[in-house]
Amino acid sequence: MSEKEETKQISRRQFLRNAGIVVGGTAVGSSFLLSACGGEEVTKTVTKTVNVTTATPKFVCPYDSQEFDTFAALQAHVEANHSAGDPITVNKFVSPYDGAEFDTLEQLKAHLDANFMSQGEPGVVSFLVNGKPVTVKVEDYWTLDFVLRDRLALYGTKVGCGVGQCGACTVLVDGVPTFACLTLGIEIAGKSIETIESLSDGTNLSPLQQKFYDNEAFQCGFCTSGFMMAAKALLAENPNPTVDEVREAVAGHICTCGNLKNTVATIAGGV
Amino acid sequence: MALPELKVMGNAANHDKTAYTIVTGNADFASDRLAGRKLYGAVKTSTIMRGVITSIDASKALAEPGVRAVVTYEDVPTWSDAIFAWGQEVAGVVADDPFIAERALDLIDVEYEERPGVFDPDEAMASGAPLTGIRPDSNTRLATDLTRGDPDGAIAAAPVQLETTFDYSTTYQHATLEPHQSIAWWVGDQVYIWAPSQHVFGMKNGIVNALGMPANKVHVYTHFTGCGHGDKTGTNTGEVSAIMSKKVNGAPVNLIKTRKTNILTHSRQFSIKSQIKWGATQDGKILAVDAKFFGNGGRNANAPIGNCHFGLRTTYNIPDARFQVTIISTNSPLTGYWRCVNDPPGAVNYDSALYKLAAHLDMDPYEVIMNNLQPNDAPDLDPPNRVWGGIAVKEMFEWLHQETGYASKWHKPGTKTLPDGRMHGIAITGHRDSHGAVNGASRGMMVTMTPDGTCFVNVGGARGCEGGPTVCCHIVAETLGMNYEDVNLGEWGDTDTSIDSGIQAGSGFTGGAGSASVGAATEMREKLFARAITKAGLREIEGIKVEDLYAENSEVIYRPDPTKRITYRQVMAGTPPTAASGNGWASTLRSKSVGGVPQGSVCNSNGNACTAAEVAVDPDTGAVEVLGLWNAVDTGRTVFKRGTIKEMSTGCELQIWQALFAGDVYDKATGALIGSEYTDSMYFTPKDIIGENLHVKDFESDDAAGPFGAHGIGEPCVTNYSSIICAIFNATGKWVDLDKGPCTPNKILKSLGKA
Ligand code: FES
Ligand code: FES
Repeated sequence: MSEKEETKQISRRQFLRNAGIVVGGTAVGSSFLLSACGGEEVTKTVTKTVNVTTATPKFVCPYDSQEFDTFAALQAHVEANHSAGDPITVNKFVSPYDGAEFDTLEQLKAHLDANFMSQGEPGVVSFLVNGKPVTVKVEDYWTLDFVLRDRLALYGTKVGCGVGQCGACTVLVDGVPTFACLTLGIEIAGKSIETIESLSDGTNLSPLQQKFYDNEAFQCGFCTSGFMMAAKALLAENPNPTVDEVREAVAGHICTCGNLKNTVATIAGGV
Repeated sequence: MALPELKVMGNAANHDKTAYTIVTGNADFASDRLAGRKLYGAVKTSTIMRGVITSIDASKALAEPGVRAVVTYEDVPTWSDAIFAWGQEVAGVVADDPFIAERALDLIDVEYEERPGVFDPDEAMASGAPLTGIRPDSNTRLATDLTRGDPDGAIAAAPVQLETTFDYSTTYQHATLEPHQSIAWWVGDQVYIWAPSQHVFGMKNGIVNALGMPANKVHVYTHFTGCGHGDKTGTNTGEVSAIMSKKVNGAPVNLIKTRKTNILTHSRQFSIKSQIKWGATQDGKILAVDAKFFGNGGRNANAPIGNCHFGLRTTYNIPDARFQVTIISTNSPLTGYWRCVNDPPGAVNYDSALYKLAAHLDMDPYEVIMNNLQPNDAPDLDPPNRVWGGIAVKEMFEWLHQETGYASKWHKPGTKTLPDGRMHGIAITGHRDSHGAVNGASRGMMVTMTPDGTCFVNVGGARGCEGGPTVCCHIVAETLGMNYEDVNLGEWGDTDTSIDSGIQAGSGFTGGAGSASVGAATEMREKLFARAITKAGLREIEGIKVEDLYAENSEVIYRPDPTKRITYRQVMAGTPPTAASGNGWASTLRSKSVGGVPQGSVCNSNGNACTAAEVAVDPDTGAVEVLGLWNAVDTGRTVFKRGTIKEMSTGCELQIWQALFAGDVYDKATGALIGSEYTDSMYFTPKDIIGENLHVKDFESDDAAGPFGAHGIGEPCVTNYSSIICAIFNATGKWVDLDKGPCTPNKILKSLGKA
């Protein structure tokens, strides 16, 4: 194989990196491919970028604004550095999951315990789905799509490939488009998940849905939820994307009906 | 001649009746139900190419926590202990979750006795090759052998003779985004099954036969299918999940195939090679053809390849001709339909052969095509010599010629370089398609009028990509003279509440369910008009008869004095819901005579397609850029405008993939599929589409056989593959050996002697 062909293949497959998802790590795979009739042998090295959400909610110390990844870290910091009962004059203790504000560490803990934290029971996770707190018992190998679809009956999220190659399962995790099939249920404790079911208020279509409806930006509809969730995240950052910006943002999605031109054009220009 | 005006059909403002459901995420595909109340199934596949299963030991799998049951070929009627290809179903697991089920598959020990297999079609055809075992006594079958006149003599006598060959076209799996999946459960002796099916009644019948059950105890449902492309026409997942459920006392079992299992156990498009001999005059009149096609059917003994010559046979006026199609059985995975029964692989073969002939004659291939086109109203040259109900092939070719600026862009092969150094190419191909036929004699449809003056239709077919039930709603509205929004979609794809509307494949749903829709709505209109003349507003008219009425915009109108009218709501006031059903019809010249053949005669009625491609090829890298793609499709009359345009545009995108990227990759020695993921098959992404350079147009030929002149739109994309390949030839002056795969840069460089 020529150098140039190899380069082209790699560039085509760079779509995972371009899926509009925070990059967390890189895996390099190599496959030895034999053509069906034995005529041509090619060795292809494909660089796949594995996408891991890094938008962890932060616990902020109201005294000195330092940020911590966990409540326990915040608690340790406050107890070590600030006298109990020090008055909070400017900031409050804020729940990073839902923005609720509290005057004391204890009040915040009670709120988190009641709504978001696993209380010592292995495999129980609490998180927000479409703004509503839920607590689900999960096995540690269950993927997020399974948790959403098969435990919470949120069937709008579809699973096309199960291995991070099609984008059908895209949901927003703390606002970031994420492949649910590559995300474990236990990873989402304390996070906020948005699915296609969040877009409409139950009566009215959201502007994004209306535009997909107006343009009929679907054929069979199996990929549509994934495209719409990726579009929601894109438009939140860039309300008026160009066609090329959309192509880049949804490059990790495929549509086996071939409805890409229409879908990309629908997202372009925003709503 | 201007076509009769239609009020609802072809109106671009009309939406798919399920559009809201889809954009809200509420479209219910097969697995979208019974959360937390179901078990999960997974399927294990064979790891040899040919042989027989000697034992299956499931004890370790059954001992695994969470595993509830194992099924084998002994449980599933359509599975077998005889293995004819790597990746054939041998066993399945039912477990508490899909992850346990998948892991447990590895714990099932399957022992085989291996036998010699043949993976390669040429090896399978060679004399002395081991039998693949798929057919009893041969690896080949002559599926088509049709001779017109004296092709051998005519070729021998022709001033110009040319033999062309084309090696195997691309083969790849359908890769539908929704995998094959289903849920089944039992209540007593009744089984309920949700599965994605392009023919839900066909699936039901298959399950009835496979399980030996009475039809009234089998209930099968499909609302949405996540792509089908011809691959979702069998019974497999529905049957298997039903058997899995039976094993666990009727508990719901959701069988979901992984991407890899999906690709292994379902059909892929067959590949075809050809040897075509031409006899022609020096100025490009084709006098004779001897066309031999060879198709790799894999382990499918009945691979639907026999009609791959159809476009060559029917599109051109060739007095002496022979068409032979040999199907080769190989120990490779199933082959079957992919978006078209025959044409992408058949068309790339005969279109390339036509382009080779044109090059040999030193002529513009468009000129050769137009010199030899069958007139639109001419009968088929082969018995039973029927005319076509509607054909717009010539008009489509001419449109492509004009739209592309072909006259100024075409050049002799390999002779035009763009300013950036790339080679420029352009090609137009097209044909009469074997798809889209009006043949609905066994199809049914139901319509129910409600007291509020609206109606709903029950369609016995799923919502496929193109919105088949929406097509029926258009036709019902047109027939009844109702506003489109007054016609609702009732239940569809439900074998309990609808009647068989036919298979959504071969693009025959418009002709089948569509003609049945006319029948049901016509019966309803008769009932409503009979009632209308008894209602205030019309009954006062002296001597009023049903024949004096017509309907428009959901009103029933007195033709002699259109100011006298009442709404359907008024017609239905105070009456209970009224139902009507209708059957479709077979293709006859219902609305007009064609080519002197009287109205009422049996005719052909198909969709047709033509395409142009313009490409730039980098001589240093072999990279191809599709600069433009134009697709014209003969709809007869366009029914669901949005669906039609989408179907054309999306088909074009898929065919760019077929031409340039797609391909299954196997280890020939073992028959094992190596590439089973979208990345392996280079599936096209939003970064690969050509956007504004894609142009589509529907043509209306007013098919005399179709409902309101419509026929299925065929597979609009089927000629794009060949137009792209032929455009690459026009650019480089060299033919690329596709070698059962896509036209990759590497292969192009090889054709240029650079790799
Ligand atoms: S199902 Fe998750 S990326 Fe395909
Ligand atoms: S609309 Fe069918 S997969 Fe995209």
